[in-house]
Amino acid sequence: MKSGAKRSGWVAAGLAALALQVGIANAADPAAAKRATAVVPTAEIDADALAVLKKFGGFLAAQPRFGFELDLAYEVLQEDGQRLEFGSFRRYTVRRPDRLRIDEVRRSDGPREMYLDGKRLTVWIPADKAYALAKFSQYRDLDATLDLVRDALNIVVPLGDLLRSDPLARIEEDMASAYVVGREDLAGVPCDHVAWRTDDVDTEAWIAAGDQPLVQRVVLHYLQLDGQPRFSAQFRSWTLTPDVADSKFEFAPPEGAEQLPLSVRGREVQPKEESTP
Amino acid sequence: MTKRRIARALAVACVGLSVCFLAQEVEAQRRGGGGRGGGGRSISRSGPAAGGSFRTQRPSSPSRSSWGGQKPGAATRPSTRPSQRPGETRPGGEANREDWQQHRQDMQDDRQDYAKHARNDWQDFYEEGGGYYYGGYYGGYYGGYYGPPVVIVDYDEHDDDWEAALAGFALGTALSSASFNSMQAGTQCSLSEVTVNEVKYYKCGSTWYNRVIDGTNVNYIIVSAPPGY
Repeated sequence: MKSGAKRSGWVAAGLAALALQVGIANAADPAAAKRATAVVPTAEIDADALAVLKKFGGFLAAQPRFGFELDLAYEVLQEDGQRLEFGSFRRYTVRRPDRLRIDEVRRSDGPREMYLDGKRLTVWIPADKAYALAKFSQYRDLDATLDLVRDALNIVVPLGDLLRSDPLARIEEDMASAYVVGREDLAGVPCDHVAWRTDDVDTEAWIAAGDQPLVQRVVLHYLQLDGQPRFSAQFRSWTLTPDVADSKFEFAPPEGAEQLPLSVRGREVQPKEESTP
Repeated sequence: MTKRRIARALAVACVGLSVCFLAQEVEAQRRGGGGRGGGGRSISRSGPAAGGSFRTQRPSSPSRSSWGGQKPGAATRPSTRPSQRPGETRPGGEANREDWQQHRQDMQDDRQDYAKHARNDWQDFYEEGGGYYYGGYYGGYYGGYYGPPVVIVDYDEHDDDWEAALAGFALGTALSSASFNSMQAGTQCSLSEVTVNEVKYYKCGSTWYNRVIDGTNVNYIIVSAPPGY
């Protein structure tokens, strides 16, 4: 009885010492303290996270051509407050510096095709048998074209930043904090799960570990938009040797296809004499 | 001069209001027409998250944040930057098909008013703005302009300015193909079609439309009457 009380006294002392030690360790190692209180958002960009992302960015930037498929989904806030998910399946084919082809099948709205070749953009909507053509007055690489078509023609390429010559430039520019969540398996592919934040978007990416560090999945949360909708994209069938013959990036209108005018977003638009095509 | 400015401000405000109304109606109809939810429920199938962008609400280059400052007449642009990108639908402001029926007549009247205002504004800006056109409408879904079958687009980095070859002047609202068809059925207008400068114009009642590709969708956009009509 007596010895039992004594023993518990020693145990208590030992626990106190241990607690003190942990406290000292945390004070000496702020990172450890942060890990212990993981709910507090860090405002730091973790070097490991950046290294994982840069490895991917550098690898993709070095590829003269590549292709992948995207199973993408996004939430749309409804009037009653419920968020519904819609999406599409897309195949991207890129030949640097200026070719892009997107074959898209929307869940609810049928297929679309888009072609870019540095000099023009073509959009083909098979269900309407309609296509539109925009010519650029000067040559444009993909970096310049993706901005142009978004701003002038209201054509947004999901995850288009990843197709740029430096896929990470804009992501790094906006990044406020980042860290590695851990190593995870995505359909059998070991990946580094990385999370980062900007002022208005929370992002997660899964980058394959190993000698082909390619992104396997992306999830975005738009914090500033009504309902904070979510976007997710599962990457499939990455290839670094797609068929990139010129003909893959050229659209030949099928019989009966109607060419329609393309709506140009008005900002400040100056009429020009129409040059003969 | 001051009077003229006030008149112009009033006209712009008027256009803005009627456009807001139209945009809501049109969007409601667009959803109603495209929705397959049944039971009168209208379903939004696209939203700002569809873009899959790593950033939101930001111009693509720092210089563009200054757009609107330097060009003549820029101060009269009704709104600068929408909280969401145009082309992306915003939930809310929806009406169901019944509302559409009720407001159909109002909308037609508004449309005609709007067409007049917009045309006047456009001419005003054209005369006074040193050759620059302005979309009478920004902050909704659609741009103010469309091109000929082949549109030539350019972005001048030095001038921070879009340029595009234009075939006509659009009045800023658009209907999806499905909505156009149900509107046509609803109003029982006799649809006529003419081709001017390689562009097809459709006339329903007294309103002219072009069938255009807007973003990556086929829409009917309300336009001014083609030359000679």
